[in-house]
Amino acid sequence: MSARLWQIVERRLRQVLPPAYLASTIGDLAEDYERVRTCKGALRASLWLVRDAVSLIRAYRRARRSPQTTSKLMLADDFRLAWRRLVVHPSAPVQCVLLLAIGIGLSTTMFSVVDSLLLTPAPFRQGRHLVEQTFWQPEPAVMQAWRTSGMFEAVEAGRQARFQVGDTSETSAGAYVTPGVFGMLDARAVRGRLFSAQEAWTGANDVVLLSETVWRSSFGSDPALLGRRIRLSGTPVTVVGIMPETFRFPAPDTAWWRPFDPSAKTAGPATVFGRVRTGIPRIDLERRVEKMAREFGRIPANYRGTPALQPVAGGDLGAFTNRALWMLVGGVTLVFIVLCSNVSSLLLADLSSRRREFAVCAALGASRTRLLRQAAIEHVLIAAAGTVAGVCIARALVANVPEFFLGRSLNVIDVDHRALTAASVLGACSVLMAGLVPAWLGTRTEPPGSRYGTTDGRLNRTATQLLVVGQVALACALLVGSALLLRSFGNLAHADRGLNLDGVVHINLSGLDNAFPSPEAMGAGTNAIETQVASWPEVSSFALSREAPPSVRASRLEPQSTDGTARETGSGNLEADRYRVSPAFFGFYDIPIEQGRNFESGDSEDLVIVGARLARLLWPGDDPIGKTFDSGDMGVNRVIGVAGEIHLPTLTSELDRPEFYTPMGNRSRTVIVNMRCRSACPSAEVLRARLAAIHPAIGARIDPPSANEYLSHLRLPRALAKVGGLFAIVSILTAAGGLFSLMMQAVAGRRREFGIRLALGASPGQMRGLVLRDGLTMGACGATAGTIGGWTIGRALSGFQYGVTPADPATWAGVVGAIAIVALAATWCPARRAMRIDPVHLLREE
Amino acid sequence: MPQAPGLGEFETLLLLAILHLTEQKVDANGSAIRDEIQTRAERHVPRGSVYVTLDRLEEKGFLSSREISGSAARGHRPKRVFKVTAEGVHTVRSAVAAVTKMQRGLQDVLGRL
Repeated sequence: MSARLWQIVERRLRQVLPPAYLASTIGDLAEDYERVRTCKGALRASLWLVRDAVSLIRAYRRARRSPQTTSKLMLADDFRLAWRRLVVHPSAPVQCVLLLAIGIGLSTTMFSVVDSLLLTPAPFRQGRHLVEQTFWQPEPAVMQAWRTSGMFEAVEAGRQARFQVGDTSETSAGAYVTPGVFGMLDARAVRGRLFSAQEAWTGANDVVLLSETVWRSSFGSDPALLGRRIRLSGTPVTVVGIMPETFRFPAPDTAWWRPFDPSAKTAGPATVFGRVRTGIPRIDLERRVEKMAREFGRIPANYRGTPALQPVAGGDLGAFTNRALWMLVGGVTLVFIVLCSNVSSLLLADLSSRRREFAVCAALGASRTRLLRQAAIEHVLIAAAGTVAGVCIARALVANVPEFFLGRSLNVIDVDHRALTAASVLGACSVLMAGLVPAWLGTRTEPPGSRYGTTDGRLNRTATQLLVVGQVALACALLVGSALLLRSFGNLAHADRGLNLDGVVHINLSGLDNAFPSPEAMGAGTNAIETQVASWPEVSSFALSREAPPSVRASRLEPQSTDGTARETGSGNLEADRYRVSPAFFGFYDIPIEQGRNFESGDSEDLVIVGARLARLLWPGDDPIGKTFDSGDMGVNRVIGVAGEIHLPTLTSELDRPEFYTPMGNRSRTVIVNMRCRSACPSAEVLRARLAAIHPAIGARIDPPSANEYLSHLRLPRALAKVGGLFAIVSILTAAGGLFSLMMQAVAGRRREFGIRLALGASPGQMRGLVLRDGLTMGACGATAGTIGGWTIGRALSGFQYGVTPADPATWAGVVGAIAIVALAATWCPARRAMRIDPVHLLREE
Repeated sequence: MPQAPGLGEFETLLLLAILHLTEQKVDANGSAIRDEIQTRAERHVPRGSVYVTLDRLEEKGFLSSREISGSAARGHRPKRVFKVTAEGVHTVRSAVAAVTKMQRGLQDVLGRL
């Protein structure tokens, strides 16, 4: 056994001892071992050997440690101490970690969304160089002009559509695109192939590409789908390829692609896409493109502008939404400042309460550097934990981004690492700065009993009070902003639309081009459809029209004098919605005819009923009946009646246009059946079967009800109100937490004072009043400062307000009331604690 | 005022122990030094502390060492024998003198040592 033990001892000593002294040291050990073994026996000698060998190994290991190693060990000790302290006193650190995490999570999410929607180019080859211009109809001449201009590397076209898949009534977003689009975007199919050039031609275009998402969800990832014929909006098409899930073009929700022939005569807007050559100045590009659009595009003569050239980026993300997003970025920045200042005030308060601990440590020999390092390490741990939790919150929030934002980016919205890093670094800096300054003051301590805790304590307290007042001010400002947004949303949701949409269902009839090729046939066909619908037992009331409210087809108007010449209205480039309707339309939607008469069968298409607002705009103070105006492609119209005004409540006031109505006529190839059903409406298949009796080519599609279209205009206000409300709630709760912590600390620090006051005869109620007064004073100071911020935010949000002004008294009253309640609630508990102080108990403690 | 440069209490004990062994003509190796301190100072001394301190004192120049051939009891391994250098003697003298001076007049408190 002893031989084996000696082997182990020698091996371990060899690892530690300097080689020059190894033999002599082991020799000494061996000589002593023999002596001990002779005196005390083998077992005791073995124990002795182990003890001395271990002593040697430990001593040499300690001696071998370099100053750096020692420093590392001290650092490890500091980390251990900091961790132990955080575990023993978790209250303030946990609050700081939570606040920091919320701040990092919210700001990272907001910046990620903005980055995805506004800053990052479309996720295609040379995405920054992709531009688009949308026209009222396909413009092959414009495309040709773009191609020959030398400014574009590639020019393609497309238009968005909704497809009805199979026999279901559900529609899915899709697009018609020229086959070259995929090459321009450098997109490849994950299965199958893309379109060939020949497949763009009418007659050979019965092919379709579909998204991987649809392939998985609707077809169970069936590999045999390629080559199979499916029905898309009633047309049989062959699936030739599957596009990757990440391919989102031209809209974020596009899931189906069919070939597009720009030269074919199709109705509806079409978009020209181009990849600009490198080095072309933007201003030159815009000028040339505008000129080409004017020269080659079919832009109505009375249209004063040209379609805008836009970067291919975020679907229908307009300037208005851009502004809304930047406003939210401003909001989240304010929230971040509130949270960070709250963390700072918490740490200030915490470190102030530890001045005695620092003083004792200093008296026991701890250097100032060591104490500062100790405080810094605690804050590093808090910052690290806050960052980790913030990442988790950001991931959770990004995964639940409101649908309004999600459906507007061609990029997949994910946590942006630059935003995450910036928010984390700023959060960590705020924690460290908040920690180091009071630590510097706090560690400037003499042993207890000297001038302990006078000026520095007041400095810390004043700094904390200022931070809390700042938090309340920012929270107040955010509360004003979110209250205005909330009231705007409420006003929009309850605004009078001027028509009755209850239970309205729209049947969009298609295939009328083939069924009724001539205007005469179209007129007869429309009458037949009207008779047919009237005979359906499920339908309680109906009206035919070419457009359903809210219309998206605007006409430019030129009012005319009685002599037929154009007259300046002072209303600029006046736009109005045009509805081509049957006489039953007004009764169906409960739109009153306020003046003149309704349409009658046989009225010519130049007769018109104008909305009340349009009448006021065109002929202010005059009787509109008999007046005329030029509506562009419809020619000159004569007014026979004035209908009640219908509204599209929306933040974008340009969309809420005045309207006018003309008889249905026979020129258009679309018919919409507006109807209400007694119980359940007939399905699309039943409708198609019934309409086949009139002509087998007629198709029927049930469109989403008008109410949905109206509700879609509430999505941005709703999203703004939601996010703004979230910001305000987080800020106000944070400020309340800061006030609560400060008041609790103040009460704890003034226990002796309260005890003396109570002993001298003050009542507990007076103590409560004292604390409440202090808390409410701070709340009032914050609210006063926040008034200025709130007014500024209210003014900045004026573009997002509907039926409310920044000076809205109800909003301000609500905000002031909310601040008062929150300040009272945050101060109440500390005040109760102050009134419960027992002077006798306090004396015993002293 | 002259002061022993960087000599701790244990280092002083070691130097004194080596001086004792040298005076007795005994080889002052690590084991003998340790035994000398334990016997004279009646204090348990860990072996590791002795050897590490010896190395440190040699580095400081207060000690010198040489190796002599070892006996069979130690497996014929060499024996490292230490000797206090002149500088070491001077330093330990200063340290002891300082202690002696400091204890003067404290017989009533400390008793006769």
